[in-house]
Amino acid sequence: MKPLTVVCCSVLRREMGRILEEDLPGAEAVFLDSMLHMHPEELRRAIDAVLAARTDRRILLVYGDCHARMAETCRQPRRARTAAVNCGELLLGRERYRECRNGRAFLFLPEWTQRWREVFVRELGFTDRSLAREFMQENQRRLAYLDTGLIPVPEPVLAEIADYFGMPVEIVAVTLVNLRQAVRDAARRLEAEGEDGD
Amino acid sequence: MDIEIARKQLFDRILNGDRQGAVSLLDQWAERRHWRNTITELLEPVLDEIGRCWSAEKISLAAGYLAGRIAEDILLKAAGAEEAVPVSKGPVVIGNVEDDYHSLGRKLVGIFLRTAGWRVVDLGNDVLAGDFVDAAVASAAPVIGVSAMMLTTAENIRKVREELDRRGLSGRIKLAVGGAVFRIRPELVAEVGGDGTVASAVDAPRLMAELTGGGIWA
Repeated sequence: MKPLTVVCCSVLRREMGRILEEDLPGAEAVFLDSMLHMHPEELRRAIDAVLAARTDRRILLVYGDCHARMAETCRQPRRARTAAVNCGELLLGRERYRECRNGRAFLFLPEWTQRWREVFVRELGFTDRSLAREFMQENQRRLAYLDTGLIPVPEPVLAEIADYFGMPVEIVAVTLVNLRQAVRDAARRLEAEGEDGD
Repeated sequence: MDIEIARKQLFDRILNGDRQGAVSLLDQWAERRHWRNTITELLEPVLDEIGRCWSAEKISLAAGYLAGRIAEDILLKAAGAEEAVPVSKGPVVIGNVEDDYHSLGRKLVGIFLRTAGWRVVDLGNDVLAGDFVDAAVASAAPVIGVSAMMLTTAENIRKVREELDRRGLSGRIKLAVGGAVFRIRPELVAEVGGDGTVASAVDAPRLMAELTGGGIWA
């Protein structure tokens, strides 16, 4: 069996670090900048570059449907991707994710929480607080921080976010159960391919 | 003021996030030229340009959103003005397809359609195929506009096409599709059974007019 590389968005760096340590200790881990999420074509090129340099390895992608050609990327032999539309669903699981989105909750993962100004001000252009508030309050009913328990809840940052958007940020505790299961399922699919994919 | 200068000023104000300045400029124009002319000769060309820039990812999401808000502000003012009787077009049914929750594009489509005189039935997020078709039948809408941001959710648009086929409504009710994934994968429009798409929300009125042969009933 060829060696395994896990390619993952840095938004889940800590969480995947824990899972890799416990479940896939021999795997190579490659984390790509989560800000690529804002530029799907750049994300596609970055993933393709990682894969092109590792044609002799099995690849497990810990991503959602994050660029327009992700399905083709994963359809190649010796490749598998976690089954979820995005990182929120990876952590919450399908049903809880749907509940959150149907409740119009905007989800802040721990890594993006620290980078919220990069996301909303630099990338999305919401330099004006009143416009940012209007945008968020029109489109979302709740702001939810997904606390995976690996770092202390960043209360001062959440207070900044709440102040900027004029909405409270609630803290939602999540375990790594769903993410771990999604990784295990994808790893199993790779194993099932066996040497046939070689 | 020359129309070209006014358009340039309006464009710059929107890009600079100056909502008050943009609306004020439109107000001043409307005092001389009335609301309907203000929309057609000043606002719409600027929105077209913003749509082009947005499609090319040359402007931020915030600027695109602000353009939508300004269009809505102006639409409300025009609707309140006696001389600005809107042309009645539509209705059209819009919504995000099953499992899709990226509502911003859909909302902007609704704003730009209303600005252009269309009556819009907005079903919101995560809409099932049968609900789209039920709403179109109930409102006698000749077009259903379905939004999906990602490939996974765009695949669910097939269900809307299948539902239209199953009820024998394909051809009578057109299926417009839109969302980020279609910009990058235009071949997907036909694959999911769409009758047409456009690259930005600003262009939605043009697509609806094309699909309905003008779309003017009143």
